[in-house]
Amino acid sequence: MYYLNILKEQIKLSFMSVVIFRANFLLMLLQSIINTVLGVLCVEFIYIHVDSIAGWSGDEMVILYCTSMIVNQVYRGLINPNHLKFIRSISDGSFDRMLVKPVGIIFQVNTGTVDYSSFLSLTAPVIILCIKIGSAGISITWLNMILFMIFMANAEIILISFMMMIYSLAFRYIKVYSLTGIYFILMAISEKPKEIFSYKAAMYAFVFLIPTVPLANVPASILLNKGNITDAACALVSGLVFFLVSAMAIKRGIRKYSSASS
Amino acid sequence: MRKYLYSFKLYLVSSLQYRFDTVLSLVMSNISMLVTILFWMVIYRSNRTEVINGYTITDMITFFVVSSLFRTFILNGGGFEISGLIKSGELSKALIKPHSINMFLYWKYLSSALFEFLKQFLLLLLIVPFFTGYLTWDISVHSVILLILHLLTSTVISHLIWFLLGMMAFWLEQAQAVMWSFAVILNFLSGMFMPLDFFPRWSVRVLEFMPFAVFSYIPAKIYMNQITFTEGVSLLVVYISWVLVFIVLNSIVWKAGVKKYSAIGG
Amino acid sequence: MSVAISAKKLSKTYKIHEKQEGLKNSIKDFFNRRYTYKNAVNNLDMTIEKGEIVGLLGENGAGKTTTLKMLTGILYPTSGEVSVLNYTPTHRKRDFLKKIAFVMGNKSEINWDLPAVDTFRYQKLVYQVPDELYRKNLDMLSEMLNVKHLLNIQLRRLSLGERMKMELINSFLYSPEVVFLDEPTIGLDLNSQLAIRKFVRDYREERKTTIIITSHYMDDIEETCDRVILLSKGNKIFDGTMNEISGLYSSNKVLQLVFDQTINPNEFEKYGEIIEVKDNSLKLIIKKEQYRDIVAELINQNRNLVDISLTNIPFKNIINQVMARDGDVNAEIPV
Repeated sequence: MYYLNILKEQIKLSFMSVVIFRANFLLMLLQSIINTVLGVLCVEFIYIHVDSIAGWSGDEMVILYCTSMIVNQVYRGLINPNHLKFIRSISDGSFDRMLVKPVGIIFQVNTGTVDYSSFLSLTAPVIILCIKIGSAGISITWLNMILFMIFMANAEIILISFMMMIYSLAFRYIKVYSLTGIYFILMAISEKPKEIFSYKAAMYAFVFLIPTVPLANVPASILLNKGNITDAACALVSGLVFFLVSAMAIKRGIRKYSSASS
Repeated sequence: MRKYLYSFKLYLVSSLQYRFDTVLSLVMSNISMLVTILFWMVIYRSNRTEVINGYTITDMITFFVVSSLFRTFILNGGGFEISGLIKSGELSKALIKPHSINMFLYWKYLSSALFEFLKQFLLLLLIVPFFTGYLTWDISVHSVILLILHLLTSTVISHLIWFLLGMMAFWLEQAQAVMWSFAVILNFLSGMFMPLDFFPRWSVRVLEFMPFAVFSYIPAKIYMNQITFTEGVSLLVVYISWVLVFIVLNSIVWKAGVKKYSAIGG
Repeated sequence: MSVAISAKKLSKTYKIHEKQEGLKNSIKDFFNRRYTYKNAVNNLDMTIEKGEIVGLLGENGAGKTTTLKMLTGILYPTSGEVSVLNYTPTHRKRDFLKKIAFVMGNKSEINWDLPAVDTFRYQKLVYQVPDELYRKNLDMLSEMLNVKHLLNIQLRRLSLGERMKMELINSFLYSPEVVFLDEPTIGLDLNSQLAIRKFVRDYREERKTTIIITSHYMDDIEETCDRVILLSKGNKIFDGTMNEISGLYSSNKVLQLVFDQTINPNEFEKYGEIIEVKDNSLKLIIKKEQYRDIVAELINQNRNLVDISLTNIPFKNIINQVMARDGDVNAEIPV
């Protein structure tokens, strides 16, 4: 199909660029892996002094962290470079080009290049996750795995939609590069157990307003058999809502851009 | 002095232009801190204990709050700027100038650090009164002097370390990428994510003698009166020796780097 | 339908944030932004037939790029109607977008790290160009622009002119029916400029594509266009064919005088408007009928004249005159 062909070509072109800049690729890969390892060490060091945090054991907490890393590295590798190119294109005027192409704008905003070093670095959290599942003797059924994947996919949809929604502010404010910081905060919150929100209301805010809980807490809980139906259902609803709202935000943004830009 | 006041004004004016950005970046860096604090509150709550590893919850919160203040004095701008100058070839222009680039960058980024400190301080001034129950303060004049000396040393050490890292650009194409990796590791080892005494026991003493311990961990401990005056002084001596080490290292690497750079023709 | 582009009373007004100097004003501005309105394009009427090459001329801020953006659907007009190939541009229908190309002079869209041909293959997919047509177009375009040997070289290694040629190939690859070229030769060396102008002419001969060019360089327009539309401060002040333009001010001519020694140009100001001065020669605009009298006078004065020539007023100067008079072409050039 049309869009699939374009995607295939983009993946190929990005790969060709990587081959040209091998040293850079390896360095970035190393950096991402170091990031993950240090994050895991942080968790381990805390558990030297405590046995459990909000019902999560040391291994479970590491699994939570790794889940968050996986969701984030997928975003960083596949989508983030394109989001950044999108906001830069609005400030340097090359967004006009996107409007003249016969390809859907939302597709263009989310695709273009693949950051192979970020994407491949998810091998680190995946490996650590598997090790922890093994060493903690946690039994995982096929159902758990499938649900885990589904909710990870849902987490991706939420993350991509949310960031797209935030970046659509670039249509109004042009210099929104610092909004990329919101992503780092999302990541920092998503890797913590949802129990950091002591008030129920606060927790729901972080499901539906600033969706950090569905990013890692929900998939990890489901994998570890700690999940509950309400959380899972809320996560899915949140995914749908953000998907629709973000598409709307982009469309409105384009209308604004075309009506008033200077 | 007037020069600095004028650039202060200019900085303020240009900051106001990007109103969205200014407010946002300040808020976001503090939200990170808030998340960390909430996390630790859960840790204490779910373990139903007052003290973990010698820290009460108020100790932990104080640690992170003052760390956020002290970390504004970590000068990494110089390192990134020198690596940029080397990479772009503009270093040639700077080499002609009759002053030490290292010193120049130090003062430049020290002044921007003062701004950052001021911004963070003012923000904390607004917020802290609402949360006095969560913080401790108990500081004597001796400690204040010690603190200031440590922070000053921190600015020098951080600048020198980053300048050294930035000079990798003389030899490495991807210096900036490597620098970011070091940033993460330095943050980790300097106690940004948790106090150094949470690290495995065998490593704590070693880490305290490392130059990056002075970035925020030791000053925070001084503030919280967890370091005796004599200990503080002896640590200061250690860090000042590190300063000397880095000064020597910097000048050796600089000479070698400039030689290579000039040989290529800039 | 032989009309490619039709615009009626097309207008575009911008809202611009007014910034004022000084610290006090910046603080005021922080809390209360002020805006002014700018008429970028004012009631533009324009009809362009298929296969025409039309030049849009005007000083900076005249509204050229804004007009192009409205014709391609990037900007919504504030008022008025516009139709391109019978589509409304702002609907951005895929079929419409596949038939147009917009080349923006100084922004490259081709991947820098790879050879151009890789981007072309991608473009082929985006515009769904059939294999046969793709190969035929690529061959023809790279021959016409003389870059066949550069197709497989990393884009960053090519010169600015060569990159621009690749940009053009990228845009013509899918046989668009209407092409908008915004400052296509800006910043290029003379050879590249000439090559691109020739290419535009030749391509139109081959494919009868409608081409709209905006440029600062008069030569771009003079050497390629059938027709010129002059914009000034958002208004159309002139719209005519190249023939019509050369017919303007035809009662005036350019007199070139070459001497064998250095001259003082001030002595010749009484004869007409001086448009070019060198050490020992000058050019000035004179009334056609005064030619013989002026030359006779100069010879009588024993001026050491070496060469005299009478030519038509260059395109550049005619345009300048039209601009100076805000489009009132009936006013004579004062001499």
